[in-house]
Amino acid sequence: MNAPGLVDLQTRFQAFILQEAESPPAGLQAVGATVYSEAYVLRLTEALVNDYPVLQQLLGETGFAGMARTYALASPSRHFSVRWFGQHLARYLRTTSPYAAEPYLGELAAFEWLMGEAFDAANAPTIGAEQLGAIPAADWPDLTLAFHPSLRRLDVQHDVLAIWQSRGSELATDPQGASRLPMHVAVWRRGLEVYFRPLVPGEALSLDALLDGETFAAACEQLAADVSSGDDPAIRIVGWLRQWLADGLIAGLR
Amino acid sequence: MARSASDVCTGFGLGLRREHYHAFVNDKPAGVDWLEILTENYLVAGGKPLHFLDAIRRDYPMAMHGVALSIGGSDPLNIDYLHQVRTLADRISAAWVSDHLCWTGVGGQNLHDLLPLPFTEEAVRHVVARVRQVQDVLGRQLVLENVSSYVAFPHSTLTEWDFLREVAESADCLILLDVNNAFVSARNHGFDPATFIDAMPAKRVRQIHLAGHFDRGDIIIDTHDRPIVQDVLELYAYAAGRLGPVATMIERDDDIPELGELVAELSLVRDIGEQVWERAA
Repeated sequence: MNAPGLVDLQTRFQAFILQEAESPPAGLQAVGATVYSEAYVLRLTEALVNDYPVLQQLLGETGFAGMARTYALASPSRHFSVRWFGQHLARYLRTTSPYAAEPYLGELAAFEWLMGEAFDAANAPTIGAEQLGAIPAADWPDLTLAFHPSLRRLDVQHDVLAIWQSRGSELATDPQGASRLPMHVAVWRRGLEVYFRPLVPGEALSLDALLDGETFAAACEQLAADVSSGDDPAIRIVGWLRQWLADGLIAGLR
Repeated sequence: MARSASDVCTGFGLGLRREHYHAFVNDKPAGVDWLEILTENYLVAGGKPLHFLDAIRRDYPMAMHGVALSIGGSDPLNIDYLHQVRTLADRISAAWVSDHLCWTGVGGQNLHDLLPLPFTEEAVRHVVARVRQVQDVLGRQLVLENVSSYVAFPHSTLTEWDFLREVAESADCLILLDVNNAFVSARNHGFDPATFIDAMPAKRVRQIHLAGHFDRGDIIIDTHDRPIVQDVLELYAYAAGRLGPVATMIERDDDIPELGELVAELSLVRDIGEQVWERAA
């Protein structure tokens, strides 16, 4: 037998582990090679359980394992760390039958993934509400905000917060029945702990504008154009800003 | 940041796992001389992992152990990854940086497993060139570990121990001798694990790993989910006699017990090693 080159050997062995090829490279013992293909699915399933504990609860252990197996075979990791293996799971659930028929699954996965992102995002000091008083009135229109690096935003059609909070017990409601108006969520880390809360639509709009680097004046214009409420947009945004400062979302005012 | 711990790892250590973060910070158990961290777990931007790493480093010397190098892989080395490894090594003044003599994937994919290489001269040359490249980027000698394996390539022309020794000597790198892996592979492939130990160049063996495995009957699987079996402890005593006082640690990655249980197991290992070295002295 001619000795296969390293690239060829590795390509064929990988195809067997990913179940793209029925048999291992010529000459390899099937019993031993199967240890690798079985361990692959188990190891990556474990990584997903770690990232998506509530999704696992919703699907059940068997249902989750079946889903994890198809995901692991369809979306092999391309990152050096298994930490990032699950990053495409929400998209996979949104676009793959039978999960796509139950869109709250993909939304819950997106939420759990963002909690993981907030968990080990970069550290940064945050500032308190007392900083607001130091801003001269003339500087307000051009004011921009620096946010804590862990802050993430998510818009969903189902109450994933209620689904997540019911973890560890029977779900209080049918998740399908939890459908409501679009829900806006912020996820962030404060100190070492991850937090989240829903945002009212105007708050979400203003936060997104300021996250994009828009000025305070531009965020006020967007809010005025979008919301029919009579309140002054500037007063409303300053009110939310006080809350963001109290929540530990703001790293600096510029 | 004030550190009471040195940068040197000698004696007997454990693998740092997140389940034991609070125990290491609060209890600082005696009988653990140093810790081995899993490199990739700390290649993150911030938050809890790095917080506890820095806090625990104040009290314990640390060595780094990676799983993603793919030194035997046929894709180009990931230089960005290596720079991150170097930054982490500098952050914690790591005593050394180790990874496995294996490959982890091809075509840009990572199977997150430690896959075996054929033991050929072609593979030796391939790995040696890559070890040199890694050592240049890291600015230090690499420590390479023998893996457990479940298949043997029929076109291998070298034994596993000759393969490891040739790589280490040609690339001038160091060895992490996993005594459990030598035992597992010996049983799976039908060789005497003492032959493996005997072939190790003692000067290059920087560290010893011990762990538990699962004997399925037809094959032994390296699971790290239970205590070290008696046969592996005996093989460790043999290795300790051949190699002298090498820094030794226990890996536990699944069914992780209370820290006290691992500290007690480590004390057993320490007794074995110290008795062997006292007799030799």
